[in-house]
Amino acid sequence: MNTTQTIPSLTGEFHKNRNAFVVQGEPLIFHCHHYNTFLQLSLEETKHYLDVYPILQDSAQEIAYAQFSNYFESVPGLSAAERKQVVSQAFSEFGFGIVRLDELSSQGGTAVMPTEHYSATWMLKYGPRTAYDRGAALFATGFVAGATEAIFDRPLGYLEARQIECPTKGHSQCTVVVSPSLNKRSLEASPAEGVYEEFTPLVQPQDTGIRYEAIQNALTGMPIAGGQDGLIQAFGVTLTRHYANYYARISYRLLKAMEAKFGTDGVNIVKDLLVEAGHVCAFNTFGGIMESAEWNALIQPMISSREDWVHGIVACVNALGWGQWEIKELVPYQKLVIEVKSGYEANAYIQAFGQSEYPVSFLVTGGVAGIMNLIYNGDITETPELSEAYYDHVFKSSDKFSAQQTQCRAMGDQVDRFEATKR
Amino acid sequence: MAISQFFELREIKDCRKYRKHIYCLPQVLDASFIAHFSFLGSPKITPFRQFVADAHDLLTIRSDTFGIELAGGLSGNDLFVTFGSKDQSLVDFLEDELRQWVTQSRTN
Repeated sequence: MNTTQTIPSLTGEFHKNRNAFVVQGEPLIFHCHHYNTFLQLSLEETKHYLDVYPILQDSAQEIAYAQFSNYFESVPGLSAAERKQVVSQAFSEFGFGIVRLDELSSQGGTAVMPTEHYSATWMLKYGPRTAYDRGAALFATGFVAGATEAIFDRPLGYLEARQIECPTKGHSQCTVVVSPSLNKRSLEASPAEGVYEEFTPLVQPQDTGIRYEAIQNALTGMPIAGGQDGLIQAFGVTLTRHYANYYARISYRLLKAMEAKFGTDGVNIVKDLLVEAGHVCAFNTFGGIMESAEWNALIQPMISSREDWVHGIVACVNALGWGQWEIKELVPYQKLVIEVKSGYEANAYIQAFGQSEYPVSFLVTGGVAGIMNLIYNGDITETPELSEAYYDHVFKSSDKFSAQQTQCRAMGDQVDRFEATKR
Repeated sequence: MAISQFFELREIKDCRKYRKHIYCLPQVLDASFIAHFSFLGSPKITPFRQFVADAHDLLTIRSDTFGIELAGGLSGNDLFVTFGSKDQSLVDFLEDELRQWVTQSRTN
């Protein structure tokens, strides 16, 4: 039997042939708290039309179950206590907070989280939730249910969980109660890496001094993990090393549900929401990176033009596990064309749904527009405060850049291609 | 931008529960800086120079006790400070330490 000192850790590997960081079969990607909370808020705002909370919680349960089941199968002989330790450690390393699973058994129980990413950052960004709202830790609630099933070798869907305490509602910590599901629920297996692409590493562009491969090596080599509180503070934001399949599932399940209910109008509503989430991500994550001490130390010394800022942030994106971004055309102040290989959105969509009638890489679409708005509409080189007012200035002005996905793997094209211009 | 003989306060970010300042210092961050601020905690060095020759290794010093994090490129002049609260006395304390370090560096 393994002792606690010899439990192999849940380690991951960055695969350069597809720019993916994979841990026990699950691709993990960096996203900041701004995107996480805004995306959750966007889904929750449909609650009067859809039963959206199962989407938010069940998606987490499915993915956590898959990852930890894979792990426990690969490391046989661990006791329940050791398995709990593995889960708690991973929760913190990924930046989700601190979770205590001592009171959980095969029939459920109570899990407490003295710190938790969504509830902590929700308070920072939006303040307290109302008495009528659920707690904010919807992802973590589903995570605990799925992880508990894996710990005790219960089948997926055997357990369900609900959050009964949350700092956003005045409590000191998050508390989740896990119990056997009263109704049979059909939860789905994880798509793992989905339909991904392998490629040769990006050839260094000749029109910039930004060293793409060196930046990728430097950033993927950084030990970015939760601190003592299980949260990741880096690049000026609160990061998570989160599940690509969680983002894909909640986004595309929302899309399909709204399409089923409202047809094309529903699709368009969700497209706008998800692209706007991409704008929020770009503004805060990309903006935060470009104003960070890390950028100042690693990338600023290579910059000799405004266009190098575009290359620099694209080089950073290629370390986030989002696939490979490549600038195909950059016309200063006018146009940016980016191709993405093995983007996590397309990988997951194609695996789950096959062919699409419309473009589906909404995060990238918002992100590409965001790069141009930060660098050529606003001026990130002057390190402005990334406030709501500044967001409105760069993203809602009449002079803003907008992006479109002009080619889409899920629609049968060879690549995902995006173009940002002023429209 | 606040300018003094000891440093320039180049940027202030006033977030909901904390503040961030970017200072431009008259001396580069070096071993004397690490020694002076060692009371805050152990330095963490991210070796960016091994990947990019022109880069600066990144220095980070974090104190949960004081609620301060310092970060900046070694041999660079920019210092990024995150204050964990909106308490002005924390800012005054840190800036006083910066003045002391600058003064000592000038006399050494």
